[in-house]
Amino acid sequence: MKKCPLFIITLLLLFVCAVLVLLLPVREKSLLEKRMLQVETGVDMQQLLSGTAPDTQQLEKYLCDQFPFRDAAAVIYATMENAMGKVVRDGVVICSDGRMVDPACGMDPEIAARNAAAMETLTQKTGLPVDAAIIPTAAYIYRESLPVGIERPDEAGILNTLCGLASVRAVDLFPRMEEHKNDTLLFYRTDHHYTDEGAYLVYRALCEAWGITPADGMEKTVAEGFSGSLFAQYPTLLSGQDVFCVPVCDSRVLIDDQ
Amino acid sequence: MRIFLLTAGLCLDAGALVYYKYAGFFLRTLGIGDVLGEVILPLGISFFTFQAAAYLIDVYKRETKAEKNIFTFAAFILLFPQLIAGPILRYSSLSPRLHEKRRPGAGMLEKGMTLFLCGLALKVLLANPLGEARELTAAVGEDSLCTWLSAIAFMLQIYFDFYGYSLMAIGMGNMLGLQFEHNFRDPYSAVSATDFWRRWHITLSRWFRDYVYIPLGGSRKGLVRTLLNLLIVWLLTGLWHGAGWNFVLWGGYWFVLLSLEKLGAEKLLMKNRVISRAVTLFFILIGWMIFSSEELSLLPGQLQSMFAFSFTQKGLLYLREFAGVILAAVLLCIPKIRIFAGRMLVKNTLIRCSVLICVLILCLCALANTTYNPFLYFRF
Repeated sequence: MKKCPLFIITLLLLFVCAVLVLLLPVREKSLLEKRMLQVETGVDMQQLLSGTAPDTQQLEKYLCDQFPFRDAAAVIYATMENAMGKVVRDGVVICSDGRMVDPACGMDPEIAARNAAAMETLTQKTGLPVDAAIIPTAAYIYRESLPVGIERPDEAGILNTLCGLASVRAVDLFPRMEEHKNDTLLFYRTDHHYTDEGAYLVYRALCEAWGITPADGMEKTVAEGFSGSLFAQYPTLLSGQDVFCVPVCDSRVLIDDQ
Repeated sequence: MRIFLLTAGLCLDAGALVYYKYAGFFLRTLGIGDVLGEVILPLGISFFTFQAAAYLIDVYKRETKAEKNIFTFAAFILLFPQLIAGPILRYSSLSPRLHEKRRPGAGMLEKGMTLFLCGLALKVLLANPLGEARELTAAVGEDSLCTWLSAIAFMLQIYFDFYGYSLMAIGMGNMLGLQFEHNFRDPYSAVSATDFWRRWHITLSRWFRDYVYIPLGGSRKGLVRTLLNLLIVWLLTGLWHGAGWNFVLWGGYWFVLLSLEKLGAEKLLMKNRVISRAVTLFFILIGWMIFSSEELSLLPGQLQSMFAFSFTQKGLLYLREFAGVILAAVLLCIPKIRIFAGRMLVKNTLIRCSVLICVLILCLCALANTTYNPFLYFRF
């Protein structure tokens, strides 16, 4: 050990990894990555021995997916990449304030135009009033903190398409969200969804548009250590902590005050 | 009889290489590519056929004794650490160790593992991300910064990929009690094209020098014959790297550069070492662009894009994305830094163990997050 410590430590480490691959139970899904893992090796001993195995990609995927402490490995690797300056991975972009966004998750302008046409047809056929609103994405609301070179989503353009329809009333939520983007946690830092506060802001804006008095905000519980779907794609520790807020509501339903 | 056996042996050896690696290419060029059907290229064929040819010639010239034990000979030809991507070994350098009872001492085991882990780190932590950088930037198209980044990323990727593998092979050899020659000596600090080829893939350059260039007459038969010999060597070197016109053109490109240097350009270059290094690096970069250009028709556009100085924000994004890994790679190309890092690892056991175990863990993390990462030189 004294004469060749690196040799012995490395062999021990690799041996322990190999033994753990064999001994640890096969994991079916990764909670961190939010995906199903490869559980079949795809190795057919007869094929392998006869040299006719088509390829070993399934085996490689199995070994990667079932690698001991894979979640930790994913976090370490992502953090290393992030530390080296990489801010884009699998479509997830880390903004200058550490927030994760997915600029491609907004609505496609062509689909938006098709949906708008469908809504107009609905209004014309039924004669019912139709209101429509576009919920902006975090990538649009925080577009100024996107890294240089990332295409800015054109959600205002989609809103304009909606506003151009004769029979559909467009509710513009953008100004309200823009107004509160720095003082309220509108979107999760590691997920593309908006938070309860973002949702409540939208609700109030809709109520105002419809002339309804909004209900008061509910109490909520806050869970620390939340990681969203964007973190699953780029699990770097440098992006900062996220929290998950759950409104506490009375689940009892009262009928005739009973 | 000896010459007959040598010729027969070389024909068999070269025949295997031509059949598996080049027949399809030549037949496709003639428009009859379907005649041969699908030919699966044996792993490392360019390396072991060259080792076998060198052995035959050395035995013929009585520079080495013929091996009478088939297992020892097979061990030389199929020695797994270097079988697939070199270095190209000479039998005379390996023969004594193959015949003795090898018991690698603790020092060899430690040195071997150190080299192996360093090579692994160069491949996994540098060459692979550089490959990603190259792929992403090449896909952008008409942006000068992206074209430069793509070319630089490939230049660094191919070096660290191949150098990394060579270190791993040498390390594995050490752990088996064998000494392999080093294949690289800071190639990107070369001051001329001639100097570059003394530092890049040293065992291949030496093979071509000893078994093609010198037997053809080398530089002893006048200028015209020297240039002809150089042309033959460099077209063969290009073809050795792959069956494609880009490799032939790349070989021709080096022939032109080396010929110009033979005609006096090297003396001009040597007047200022900073300028000579910069000029050499630039020509190496252009060389790698030709080398990596699987569709030669795209090459003029790429070269034009480099000097069009048209920029988009995509270029800035990728510069930021890959600046860290490119900078790390560039630093390791500087001889003084590489030597300093090497000395630190050799001298201090604590530093060696802690740094390289961390590196191993990072490599395992990287490998667990990616699947197939073939070495670039496997395909040759």
